[in-house]
Amino acid sequence: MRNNLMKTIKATIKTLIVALLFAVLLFLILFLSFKNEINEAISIIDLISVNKKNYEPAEIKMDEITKKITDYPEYGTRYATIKIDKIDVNLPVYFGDDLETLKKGVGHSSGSYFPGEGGSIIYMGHNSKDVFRRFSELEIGDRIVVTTSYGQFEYEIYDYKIINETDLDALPIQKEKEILMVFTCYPLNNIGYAYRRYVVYANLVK
Amino acid sequence: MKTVISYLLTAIIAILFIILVILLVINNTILNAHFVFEKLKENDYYSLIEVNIKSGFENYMKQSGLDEDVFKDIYTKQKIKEDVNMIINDIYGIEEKSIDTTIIQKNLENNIDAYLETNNMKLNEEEKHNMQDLIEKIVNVYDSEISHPVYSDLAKKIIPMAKDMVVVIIPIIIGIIFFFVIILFVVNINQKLNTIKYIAVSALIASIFLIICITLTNIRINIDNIVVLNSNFSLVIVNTLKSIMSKFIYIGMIASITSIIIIFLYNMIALRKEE
Repeated sequence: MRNNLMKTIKATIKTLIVALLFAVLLFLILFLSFKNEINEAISIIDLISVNKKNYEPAEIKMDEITKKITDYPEYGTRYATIKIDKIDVNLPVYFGDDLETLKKGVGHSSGSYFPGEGGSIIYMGHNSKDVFRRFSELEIGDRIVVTTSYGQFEYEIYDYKIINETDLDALPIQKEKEILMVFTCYPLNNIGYAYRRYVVYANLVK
Repeated sequence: MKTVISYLLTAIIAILFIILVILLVINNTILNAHFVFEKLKENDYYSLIEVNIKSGFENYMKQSGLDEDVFKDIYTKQKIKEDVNMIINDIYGIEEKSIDTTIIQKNLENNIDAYLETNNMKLNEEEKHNMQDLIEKIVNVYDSEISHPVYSDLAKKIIPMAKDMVVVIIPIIIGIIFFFVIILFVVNINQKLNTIKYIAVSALIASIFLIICITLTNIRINIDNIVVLNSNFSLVIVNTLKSIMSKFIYIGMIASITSIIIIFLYNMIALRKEE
């Protein structure tokens, strides 16, 4: 009886091994036949995946010689503070310019340069009471200070304009001179949806 | 020779079992509106959508010059649920309807009028025009958060087509399986019990294959990190995918265990007959 049981078990295990080998072989044949398609599918899934582990925003560093940022911040993360004493503004600056980012504070247009890089920097914020409601009080000569982990940058306002929201020519991206452009919705105390923007232009002074 | 042919047929039946299980699971999950409703309820999707709607409104609140209260109570949770269900029903061809946002527009207009009256504000022509634009944008936020038009239009094209195909293919696959089982039976006509063993081996091969595939997928892809549209929508997608993958594992485990038992019993009977 016991002998029979052992024989049965052995026979069953043999069949299991055969089945396992068949399954593995089938898997390998399919995998090798459709390897490119499988890798493409995995790449697409990787594209829509985000590493959600909690990490501290990397401290931005600037190369002293080339004046280029070596560790750009992740989109949507805070990397600086903007201070405008004239209108009691002391707000966080986030890298990103979508509506979700602007809810948190001042946004930095992802297509523009960073403070210290020597090009155009574009910041934007809502015209609400806790952001840029008092923008119209700014005058030529007023100072804007941007503090980052790699340095503090002071700008002096030299111009201001009212433009249409689609008027991108009024916010030129260039690399010859460091200019900070900060804009908000206009009219500043508007009711409803605002189609215009109030822009201040400032040169780097220190 | 008989054994070789039998194992060849076993392999073919195993492949057909795999295809059948995949189609049955898809038919009972992604292509099944009830499964989708179940997942939405399980993940409290309607509350998550409300969070997204409020977040979307906030994008316009600050720049609107209006109080936050103006944007409150312009929709109800019940309306959100009804509208989401309407979209699902539309996608799955159960009922063709579209979201009615006129009540939201009306409520928002009433709130704005009340706010303007309370604050003694009168709008000039430009402001009236801007206000209308704001109302339109708010209504669009609600509509797009509920329906996600790009995705729902795509789903509306794919799902009915897939359902029609699957409904036709499943009986065909079952028919083909029966056909090969009959051939297996004929090949093993002198040892009829062998047919049962080979079918059990087919089921075992299919279930091991499915378990290998799902396990490797879980290792290679971190499903928890998938992001579609926003975190709330992603939560539902991720949990749904996990549910589908668990179904495959569950079916694989049950089929494996059942097959092993059948093979064991067959071997026991075969041994007794030999003696």
